[in-house]
Amino acid sequence: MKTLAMFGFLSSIALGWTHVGNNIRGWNQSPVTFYVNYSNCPLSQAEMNEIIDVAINTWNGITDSNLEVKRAETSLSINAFLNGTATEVPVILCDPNFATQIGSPEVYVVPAATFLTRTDSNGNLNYSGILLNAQNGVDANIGNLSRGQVELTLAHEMGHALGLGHSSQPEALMYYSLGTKEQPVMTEDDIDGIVHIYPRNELSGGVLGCAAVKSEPLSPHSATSWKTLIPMMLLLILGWAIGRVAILRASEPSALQT
Amino acid sequence: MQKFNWALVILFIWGLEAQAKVQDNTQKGIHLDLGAVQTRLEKKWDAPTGYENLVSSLTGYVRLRGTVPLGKRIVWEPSLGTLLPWKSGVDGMTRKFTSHLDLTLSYPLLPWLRVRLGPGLKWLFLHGDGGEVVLNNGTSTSSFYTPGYASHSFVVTAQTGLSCILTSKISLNFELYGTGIFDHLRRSFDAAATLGWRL
Repeated sequence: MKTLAMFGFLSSIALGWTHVGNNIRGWNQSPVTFYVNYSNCPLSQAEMNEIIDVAINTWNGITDSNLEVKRAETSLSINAFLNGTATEVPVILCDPNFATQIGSPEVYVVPAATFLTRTDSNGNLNYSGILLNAQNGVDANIGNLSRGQVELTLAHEMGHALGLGHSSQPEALMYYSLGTKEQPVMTEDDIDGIVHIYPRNELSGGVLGCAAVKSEPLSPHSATSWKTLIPMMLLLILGWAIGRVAILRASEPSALQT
Repeated sequence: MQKFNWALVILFIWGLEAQAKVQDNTQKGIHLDLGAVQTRLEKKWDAPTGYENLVSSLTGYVRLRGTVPLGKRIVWEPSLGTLLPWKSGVDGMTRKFTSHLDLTLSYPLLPWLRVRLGPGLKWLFLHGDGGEVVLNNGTSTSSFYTPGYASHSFVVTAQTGLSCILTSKISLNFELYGTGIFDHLRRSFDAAATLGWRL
């Protein structure tokens, strides 16, 4: 009892993740595809792809989440996105008139922003886009930032497009400021936030027939549950069989005794 | 050298004693295991300096474990455990609860040492009361929202470990939990060390 009381006392560790909207849920599509238009970008397409892939891989591979992110190319214009009629969303665009969207003096200090994040009637995200600062003559133009800072910025904005709000934890990827961070690193805070929006349910395929578990859309990785479960069950059966043989051999009277 | 010899003698005597008690410890019964779990070991190794404890945390662990002999050597050891403390978020509006259901079999390597292996299920429960929070967005402040609904994540785990039987009542357990072990992107490992009491 004393031990439990001690654990209760320790439970003041704070996490600070939030959602970008009230009762927001994740994108219904899996994988979530970020459509990229490389026009107006101050970096080459190859450089942009490398940066985008680092940002994508920051969000991919969270064990407890079914989130999978990938990229594709689009010719979508900034105006079409801002009109709210784009179908290839979420989108990543380089904006040479970034000040028009974000204002001044923000254009000098903000390297990117996420706009028009919307949900459907079920609360699922269905519209969002990331505008990167490509305005000439400003320090926050992504062409003026280090490679790590652009990766970090993009990973942070992807977090918004995926449904996460800011975190109050300064080390978190979703903290509002880059601070002294030089590369995108997820903290437990970011991970918990994304798991809440995109939970992984390896029982959803009816593996154990648990009808009480809320059904989630099957992720492309759902086969993993079978890949994990089948060898483990075979291992259990093998272990049981070896044990039985060992027991039977031990209980058999030896030839010498007879 | 003399100290080493004495240590060997003590280990030998303890081994003999443990051999006599091992059967008691693995008889049908219930054990209370208390200890700690280090989460996401692989992230701790990869994390940049200063981030180790933000991606991989050391957390308390309490577990009830049954022992059901399936023969002379094999013992079925189903267990249900939870990570403590249950973490809370901004203004206490977000809660995190992690538990493990394991269905392992153990087998004696030595009279006082058992290896444990089997599948399990990790349940991560995240819940919030909802509500608006105002946070800095760099140039001013913006409204964000704490979660207003519960979220459940169920992940199949593979577990292996060693159980060191100290007395008929007490055991020292080391475990490694693997999740997503066949998926190079999602593969993750938690390690646990617990001291068990036979109730």
